Amino acid sequence: MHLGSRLRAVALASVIPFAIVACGPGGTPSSTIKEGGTLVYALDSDPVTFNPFETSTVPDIRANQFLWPNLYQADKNLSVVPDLAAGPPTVSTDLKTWTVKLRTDAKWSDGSPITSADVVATVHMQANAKLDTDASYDWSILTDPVSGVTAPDASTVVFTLKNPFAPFYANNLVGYVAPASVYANADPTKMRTFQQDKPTVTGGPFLFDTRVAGSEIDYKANPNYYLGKPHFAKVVLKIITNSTAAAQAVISGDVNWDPEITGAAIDTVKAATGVQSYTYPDLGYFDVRFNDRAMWVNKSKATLFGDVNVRRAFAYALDKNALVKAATDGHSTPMWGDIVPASAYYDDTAVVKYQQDIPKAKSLMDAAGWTVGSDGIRVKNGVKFSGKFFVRADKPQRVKAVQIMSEQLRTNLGMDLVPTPTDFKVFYAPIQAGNFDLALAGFGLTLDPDDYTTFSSSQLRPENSSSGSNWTGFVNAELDAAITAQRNDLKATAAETFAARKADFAKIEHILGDNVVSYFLWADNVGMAFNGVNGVVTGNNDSLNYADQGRNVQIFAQWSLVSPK
Amino acid sequence: MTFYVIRRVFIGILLLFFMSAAFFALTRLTPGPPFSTGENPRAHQELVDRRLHNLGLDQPWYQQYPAYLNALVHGNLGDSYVNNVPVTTLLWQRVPNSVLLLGVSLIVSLLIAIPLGVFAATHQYSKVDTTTSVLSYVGISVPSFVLGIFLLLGGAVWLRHVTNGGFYFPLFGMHLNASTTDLGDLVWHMVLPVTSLAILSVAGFSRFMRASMLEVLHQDYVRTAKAKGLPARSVNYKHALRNAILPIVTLVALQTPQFVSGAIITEGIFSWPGMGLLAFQAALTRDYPVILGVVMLVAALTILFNLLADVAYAVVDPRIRY
Amino acid sequence: MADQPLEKAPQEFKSMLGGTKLASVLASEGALRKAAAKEDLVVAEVAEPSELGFWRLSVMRFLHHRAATVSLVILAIIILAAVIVPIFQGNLFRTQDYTHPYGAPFQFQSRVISLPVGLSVTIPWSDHLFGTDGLGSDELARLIRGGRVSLTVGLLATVGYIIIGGLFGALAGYYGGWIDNALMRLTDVIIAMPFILVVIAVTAAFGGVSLTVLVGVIALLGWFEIGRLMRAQFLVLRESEFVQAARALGASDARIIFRHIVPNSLAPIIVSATLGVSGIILLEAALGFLGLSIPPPEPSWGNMLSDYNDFVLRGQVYLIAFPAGALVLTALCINLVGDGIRDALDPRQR
Repeated sequence: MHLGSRLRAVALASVIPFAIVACGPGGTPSSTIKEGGTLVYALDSDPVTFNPFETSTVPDIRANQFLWPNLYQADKNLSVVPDLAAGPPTVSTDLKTWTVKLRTDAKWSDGSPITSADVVATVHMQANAKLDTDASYDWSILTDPVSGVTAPDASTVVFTLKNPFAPFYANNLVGYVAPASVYANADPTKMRTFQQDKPTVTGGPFLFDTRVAGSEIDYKANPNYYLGKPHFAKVVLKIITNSTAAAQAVISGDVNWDPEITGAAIDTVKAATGVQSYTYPDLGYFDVRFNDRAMWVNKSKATLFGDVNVRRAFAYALDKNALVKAATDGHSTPMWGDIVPASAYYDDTAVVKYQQDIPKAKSLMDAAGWTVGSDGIRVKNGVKFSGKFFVRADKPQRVKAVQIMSEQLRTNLGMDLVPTPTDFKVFYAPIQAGNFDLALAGFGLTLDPDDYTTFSSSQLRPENSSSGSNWTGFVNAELDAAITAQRNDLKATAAETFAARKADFAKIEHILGDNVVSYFLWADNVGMAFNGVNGVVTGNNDSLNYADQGRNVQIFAQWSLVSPK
Repeated sequence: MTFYVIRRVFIGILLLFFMSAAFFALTRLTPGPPFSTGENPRAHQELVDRRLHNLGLDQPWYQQYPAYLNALVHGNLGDSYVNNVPVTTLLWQRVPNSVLLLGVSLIVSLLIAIPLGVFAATHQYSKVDTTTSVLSYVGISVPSFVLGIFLLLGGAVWLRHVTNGGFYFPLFGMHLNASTTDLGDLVWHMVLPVTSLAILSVAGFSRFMRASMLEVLHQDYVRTAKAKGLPARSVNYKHALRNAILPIVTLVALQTPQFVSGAIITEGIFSWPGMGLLAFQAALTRDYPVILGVVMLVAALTILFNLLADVAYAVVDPRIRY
Repeated sequence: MADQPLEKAPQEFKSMLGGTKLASVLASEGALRKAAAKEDLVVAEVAEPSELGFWRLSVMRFLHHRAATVSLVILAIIILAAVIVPIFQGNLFRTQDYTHPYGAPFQFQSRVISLPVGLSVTIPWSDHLFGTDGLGSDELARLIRGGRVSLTVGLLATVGYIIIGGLFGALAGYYGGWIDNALMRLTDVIIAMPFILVVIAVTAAFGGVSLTVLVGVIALLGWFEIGRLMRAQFLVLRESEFVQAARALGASDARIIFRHIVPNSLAPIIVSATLGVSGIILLEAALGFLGLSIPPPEPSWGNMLSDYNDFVLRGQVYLIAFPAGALVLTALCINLVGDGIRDALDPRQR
């Protein structure tokens, strides 16, 4: 039962990403296209909302991706491309005013045109401080939540920012647009229950048809979709809670498209005949988060990993590739920094890779003053190197990784780190309070690699922020400067911006790696499988980065069924 | 009789009230907040705090209780933490599916278990009796999930493979698609989950039926009837069976919560959109209002069935009077 | 008491059945059979000399129940293995070889063993008879260690609820009145709840599952069955002639309870407790299957099954077959032993 994904990745929330395809048939010879038929899509649990402002869990995002137009979205290589927008945004010379031109041929399902007023109303609602939602919108960069976004004419939207902000394009402009006629006057404090069970007006490639709670959701093709009518007549989302059944359903053809296949099921579908399967690195990572402070925040204990040499020893004592492979059965990509290898900003030369070198690890520990005691566990000033290695009990792969690391560090290095699987309801509390030694945690990411909330010292929780996601306690002026730089490095052209930010990120990755601020582990490789679908094309490295979790869903408007039924 | 029923209903409501109070306190004393920013680096703690505040969850539990109780009295079980809709709505969507699955399983298992138990009792120590006995012990010793996976792999995967797609049972769900109203399709989808649930019940019920029947067969009136020379068949089925079947009514009523427990696993394996699956998802996400809702509903049904069973007893058995 | 007849009939079953598992159905047979066989002949293959004590007779009768005897032997082997083997194996159950996971079971190679007199023999040998798991740990060692955990949960929780249930039941049955009423109403509540869901919710309330929490929660919620049984026994026995006699002789309540009533009420309790152990072991397994039992690194038969989907899909059926087989075998043996004990303690029921 892989119900877990609902809990996981509440991640992509802030952006509710999206994808696109402006362009023509990416590799599908038109002769193979057949019109009509029903595409059956597998979901592992029932989505909870059809209100776009509320989508935050993975099943929500997947179910809603069929329904809403997006301003911009990611393509199969995770680059941002226009969708409802007519082209890339233009930025003023002071780099603070962004102007987006919209297509003029787009229509809502009720026949009214999709205009800049809809975009403005959507942003106003998202920026409304009273909006009750789990999705995390951040429009604080606008000069004003209301007047910061305007519509000079029906096809133009202008955003006025407080200061130049590079992540604006991929973080803020990639997102859905909701019809102002329905949502603009809704009560933001009651948005959770507003049109939650079904939407009235939509504008994406498919239209809401029927829903049987807990069992399935039916969509039909939107004949007026602005990127062209989808080839499928219907899409049926089937809720299959058992992952064995889901994998077998794709193999047998009961299901045409399973967007998330994990674990051994990936190998099973790969081996099956007639199934096209792909893997894509998930946007998100898992890391061993050390408490880099000298003392716990409540001052009750000196941390074990406050000394950088101890953290380096930790890194040298492990064989990351082997342990990640074992923990995830090979279905992951090992990581050395906080930018996933699938991202264009990833720079393999910038990250610091620690190859297993046990003698070096031991000498680092000796240098840090930790000497081996009589029972094989290291001791310093009479204190044993002993602590709890926290991990969420409901995540088998993470528990496995912690078991391996704990055993390796005990035998290789004399560290006594007791695997402590913990209920997810209590797991975060000590970590966010700064009273822990180390924990295996994870973060979901957005399209933009901006890591301000996770590594800037202004986001240290609890010291500097009650809401920040920097739990490490690591403070480094150089790192802060680099993080600020990548946010501010907006240049006249996209290419210049990209080059400047890539250099900034290289600096960040180097500092993170050199100080072992966190010991990054892996990004999941998620499998996606198709049976009887034509026109699926892959992105970089033959992986399928798109068409999941709302990244680029309209692309499947180009797909068709091999034998429509 | 009327007074008795009223009294029982009153006690039942009182019990439900105490149960809800205990459960309420328990869920409010649970360590860890119901919501947190977790693994979303862009989540805002302020929004989480505001939601806790809006739901009154930032107050101590004894201050939250009056509002909760007031809602409960009005038949409101609260809103799901995850879905944000009233728990009663969710139950209304899912409970009929479970009632269908569990009801059919129950009927099927009784139709098998009662004749089996009666036959075993009337042929005590025969081969059939011994075999039934051994099989029922195996039946109650096999966990329902082992049986469920086995049936899924056998009936939906292996069968399809060996018949080359000619004959197999569905892998998931209760309908081929939403518009299907075909009864045959529904039956087809029910075969595996019903089998999985029924096998376990048959094991228990047949043992019980055998014992109940044996008891009656040893009663004086049965012996008298036999001594008078009435044919065994007539005695067994006309006189004994009627009385032996009565206790199983109570048993069925009392087993209601256990059926639901079984459904949690079976519905998960076969993707059956019932309340067992709802309860399990709620347990994973710690959606306490939903868990409490399911527990309360099952408890209310159990108490109701129990009462009905007792009344039915009194109706059928003239010796019992209230 | 207008409702006497009604309370009596259903409560009789409730006391035995309300449990968490269908296994408890079997316990109830005892009550039925007892009533059934009042004037039935004692079926005894042996002419029992009257000087043999009750317990000795019971043992003899138990040994005549072939299936129960065989089960007891198997069960004894399982328990002894679970208790003794881990002592010698030490940390073998968590010794990893994580770069070589999922070793297949029953892989033999020849091994030469040198005998003291210069001779040597070649025998088939397997480093990991039952294969290895995802961390390369020995599956057999984990199975045995896991059995220790599963059996511990079963036994400790049962002992816990015998103590709680026995105490409450005895008080209610002996003194009656409001204690009795309160107990019956409390058990009505617990009986009416879906047990597994409540265990999940309550363990979560303790901040996660551990051996102590699991045992505690099951004991706290599972005692009502024993409680009702004990109460029923006390209700009958406190009116019996020998208790009346003891009372007339001026025996204290405590003396009457512990010297006279308890020993005479043990039989159904023992049967119910035996079946309870298998029920709890299966419950722990179901929780493990749902991923909600005791977390690793400590193995249990339940948590060894939590990755079942991966095992099925990867074709590593042995990783399911061994813990599931151990579970079924153990539960079956316990149930048959329970059946044997019941027959032995109450021969009229056979």
